[in-house]
Amino acid sequence: MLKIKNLKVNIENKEILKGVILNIKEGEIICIMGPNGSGKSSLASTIMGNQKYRVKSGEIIYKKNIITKTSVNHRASAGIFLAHQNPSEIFGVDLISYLFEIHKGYSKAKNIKALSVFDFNEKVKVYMKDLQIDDEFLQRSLNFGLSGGEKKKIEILQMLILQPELIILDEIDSGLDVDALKLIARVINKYFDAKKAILIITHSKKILSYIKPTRVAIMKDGRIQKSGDSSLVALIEKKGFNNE
Amino acid sequence: MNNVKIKKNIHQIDEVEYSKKFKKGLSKAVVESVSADKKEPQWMLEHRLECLQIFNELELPKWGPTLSDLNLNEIVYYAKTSDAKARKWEDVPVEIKDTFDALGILQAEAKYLSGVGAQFESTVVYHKLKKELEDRGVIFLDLDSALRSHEEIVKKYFMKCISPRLHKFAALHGAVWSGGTFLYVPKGVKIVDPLQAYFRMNSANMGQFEHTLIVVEEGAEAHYIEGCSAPRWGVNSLHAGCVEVYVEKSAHFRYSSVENWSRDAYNLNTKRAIIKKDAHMEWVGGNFGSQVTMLYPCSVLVEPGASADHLGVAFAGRGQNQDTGAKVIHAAPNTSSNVVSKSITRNGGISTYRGEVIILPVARNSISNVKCDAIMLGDNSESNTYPKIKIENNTSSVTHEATAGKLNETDIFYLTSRGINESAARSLILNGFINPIAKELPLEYAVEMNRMVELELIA
Amino acid sequence: MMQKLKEQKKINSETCKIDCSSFVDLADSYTIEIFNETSLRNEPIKKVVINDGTKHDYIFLLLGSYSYDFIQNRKIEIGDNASVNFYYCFLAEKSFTLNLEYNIRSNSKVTHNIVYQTKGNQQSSVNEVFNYLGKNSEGQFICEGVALDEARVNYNSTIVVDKKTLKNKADLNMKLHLLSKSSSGAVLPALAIKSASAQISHSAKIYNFTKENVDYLMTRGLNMHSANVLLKTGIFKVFINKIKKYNLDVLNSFYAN
Repeated sequence: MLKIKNLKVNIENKEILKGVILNIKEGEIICIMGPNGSGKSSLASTIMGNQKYRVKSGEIIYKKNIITKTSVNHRASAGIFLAHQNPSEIFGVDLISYLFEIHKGYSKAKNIKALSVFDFNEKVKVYMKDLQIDDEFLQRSLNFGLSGGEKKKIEILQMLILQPELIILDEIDSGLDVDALKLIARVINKYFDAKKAILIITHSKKILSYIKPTRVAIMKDGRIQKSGDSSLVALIEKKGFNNE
Repeated sequence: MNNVKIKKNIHQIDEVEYSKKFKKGLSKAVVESVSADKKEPQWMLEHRLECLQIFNELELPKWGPTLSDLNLNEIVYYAKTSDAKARKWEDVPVEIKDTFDALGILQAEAKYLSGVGAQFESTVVYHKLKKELEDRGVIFLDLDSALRSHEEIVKKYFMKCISPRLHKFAALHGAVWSGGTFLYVPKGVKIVDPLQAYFRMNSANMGQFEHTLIVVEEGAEAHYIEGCSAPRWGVNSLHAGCVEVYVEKSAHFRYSSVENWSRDAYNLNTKRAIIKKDAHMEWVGGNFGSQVTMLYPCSVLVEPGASADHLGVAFAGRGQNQDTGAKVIHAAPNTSSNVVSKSITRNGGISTYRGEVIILPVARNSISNVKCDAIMLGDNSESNTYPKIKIENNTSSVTHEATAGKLNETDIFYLTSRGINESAARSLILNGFINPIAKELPLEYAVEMNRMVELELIA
Repeated sequence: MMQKLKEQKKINSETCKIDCSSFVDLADSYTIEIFNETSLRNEPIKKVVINDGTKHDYIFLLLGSYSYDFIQNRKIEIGDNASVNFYYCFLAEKSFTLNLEYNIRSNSKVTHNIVYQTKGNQQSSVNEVFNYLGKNSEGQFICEGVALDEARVNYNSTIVVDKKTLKNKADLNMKLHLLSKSSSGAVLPALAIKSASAQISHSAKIYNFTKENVDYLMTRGLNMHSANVLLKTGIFKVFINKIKKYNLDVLNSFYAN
C-alpha cells in the first residue's frame, strides 16, 4: 500500500530524514519505535504531506501512485489518515459542524451521497458513545479546552468518519490513561481489516499491548535501523534504543 | 476595482443638478436652511447653530488615521429628501449591484437599501410589526418625524449623551444631522425580535449624518440592528452619524451594526451609551467597508451594577484604515465590562484597536476584561493595538490581553489532513475567528458576514 | 552609601559592557549596576551594546534613599545571535523614571524582568520600546510592580515590529498591584506590528492581589496586612531567585522590606 523509497527530508535547512526505506502492505500493523528526535513524527508528517518538511530526494508511493508532491488534502481524500500528536485547537469552529464538513468532503471524494444532517448526527452520537466522549463536546470549539486524552479520542472519531485505508497513529498513547488507551485500541482494532494498514509511531511500548503489531522497526538518526517481528519490542525493553 | 471610476461617472451625471440645488461646504446659511426645510422647533435651530460654533472652534483630532484627504469644504451637508428620492436603480454603480447579487440580496431589498425604492414600506410584514409595537407603546420612527410628534421626549434626551464638545465631528453632526431613528421602549416592555433599521418609515436618506436616539426605560429589553451588510453608497464620502443610547435601571439593550460603507468613505461615527443601575448594554459590530473608520463605541457605567459588553470585528483590506475600539468608563461601584475585539487585516490594510478603560476612584469592586486578537494576512498588513487603562480604585481590576500574528500553519496542516483544501481551511479558521461576534448577530447578518470574509479573501 | 561593585569602575560613559570570566551557567558575561547613592542625578541617555553572539546578563538595582527623582535612560542595541537577560529592580524612596529602548536584531533571544515598588506620593514611570529590526528573534518581557500609599504608576510600552522583518516572536506581561486605597495606575501596553510573519502577544493586569490568594493566606492564620506583605515580598523573591547566582549581598536587605 505504501512504499517509501530512500526518502531524504529537510526541515528549516536541517536534514531530519536521511534515507528512509519503508514498505507497508495491506493488512499490516507496523510499529516504528525510536528515541526522541529520531525523526518518527517527522516521517508521519511527511507521509501526510506537511509542507514544513521539504523532500530533498526519494519518493512516497501510495497505492501505486507517486504522491511525493501531492497536496495534503488530496492525500487525505485518497485514504491516508494521520492521528496528530498535538491536534490543533481551532477556536470558533464547533465540532459537529466541522465533522459534517469533513464527512461531506469524504463523500464528494468517493463520489457517494453525503448523509443528511440528521442521519449524520445520529451516526456521530453512536461513535461518541463507543469512544465514551460526552455529547456536549459537539457544540464546543474543535479541540478547545480538551485534555490530551480527549483530543486523541476526537482524532479517532475523525478516523471513523473519514474511513481511511492507511492509518498513521502518531504517539496516540501519550496523555491517555490505561482505560482510555484500552478503549481507543478496541475501536481501532474493530475498524481494522485486511484491506487496511496501520502505522504506529511510539517511543513507549504501552500501546503495543493492545494493538499487536505484525512488524516492528527501530528508527534512529533519521533512518530505519532495524526491523523485525514483535519480539524486537522485548529486546528494546531490556537494552534501550542505544544498543544497536 | 473600478470604484473610483464609476463614482466619477455618477458625479458627472449629477454634477449639474447638484450644483444647482446643493451647496457644498458648511455655513450658518446651510444650517439654517436645513432647519427651515424640516420645520424644526426653535430650540433645535439654536442647538444646531451652537454646534456650528463649536465645530469652528475645535480642531481635527491629532491622533489616529490621517484625515488630510478629507476636504470639509467639498462636502454636501444636506440634500432635500425629495431630491434624494429621485435617484434611480440604473444610477446605482454596477459594482454595488454585483455585490448585492453576490450576497444574494433580492432586487427589491437591494433597491431599498440603496435608497432608491419605497416598496418596502408597503409590505405586510412591516405593517404587522408596526401595529404590534404601537399597541405596546413603543415609539419607533424616523427622528425627523419624532421631533414633531414627540418633541418633549426628544428634547429631554437629544445630544445629552453625546455632547457636541466631545470632538469636532460630534459638533459637525449636531449642526447638520438629518434623518435617523428614534426608538423609545416604555417601562417593562420586552421586545423579543430585533428591530431593524429599514423597518422604520423613511426611505429617503443619504445616511451620512443620521442621528439614532434610543431610550430603553426601566426593566425594558430590546435589540436594534442598524446598517446592513451590503455596501452603502452615499453621495458624499463623509459619514458622521451619532448613536445615543440611554439604558435605564435594570434594562437590557443590544445595538448591532454591520457597517460596510463604500471604499472611499470616511466613517467617523460616534456611539455612546449611558447605563444605569443594574442595566446591561451590548454593542455588537462588524466593520467592513470605508476607506477610513474611526469608531469607538463608548459605555458609561454611571450607577452600581451597570455592565457593558463590546463585541467587534473589523476587516481591513487594501487601502483601508480601520481604527476601532471600545471605551468604557466605570463611574460607579460593582460595575463590569467585557470587550472582545477581533480584526483581520489583508494585504495593504491597516487595522488598529484603540481602547480606553477608565476606573474612577468611586468605582469600587469593578472588573473589566479586554481581549483583542488580530490576524494578519499578506505581506503589507499592519496591525496596531493601543489599549489605555487608567485605574484609580484598588479594589477593582482590569485585565487586557492581545495577540497578533498570521494564520497558524500547523492549524492549516491539521485541517488539510482531513481532506479540506487549503483555501477552505483558511476561511474556516477565519470564520471561526470572528465567530464570537458573528454568532451574536441575527442569522442573515452572520451569514452575510461570513460570505464577505470569503469574498474579501478571493478579491 | 554602598560602593558600586568593582566591575562598575570599568564602565565608561558611553557603553556598558563587561566581560567577565564565565561564572554563571548561561551567560558568558554580566554587568551589574547598583545605585543607592544620595547624590545621583539624571543621567544622559546611556547606550548599552550587546555584540553579536554574546550571552550576557545585565542587572540593575536601585535601592535605598536618594534625594533626587531618579531617571534612567537606556538605549540598548542587541546584535545578532545574542542571548541577553535584563533584570531591573527599583525599590526607591523617591520617584523613578525608567526609559528603555531596545533595538533587537536577528536570531537573538532577549528576556527582560522588571520589579518595582513605589510608595508615598511618588509618581513613577516605566516607558519601554522594543524594536524588532531583524528576523527570528524572540523576546519575553515581564514587568511587575506594587504601588502603595498615594503612589501613581505610569506604564507605557510598545512592541514595534518593522515591515521588512521576518518571524519574530514576543510576549509581554505586565502586572501592577495597587495595594492601597489611594494608589493608582495608568497603563498603555501598545503593539505596532507591520509584518504579518510576527507572532506577538501581551497581557496587562492591574489589580490588588487576587482575593483567592489573600483568602487562602488568611485561612492559614495571617491577617490581611500580613497576607499582602507576604504576597508582595513574593514578587521580589521570585525576581531575586532569578539572579541569586550572583550572590549579591545587597539583596539580603530586601528581606527587611
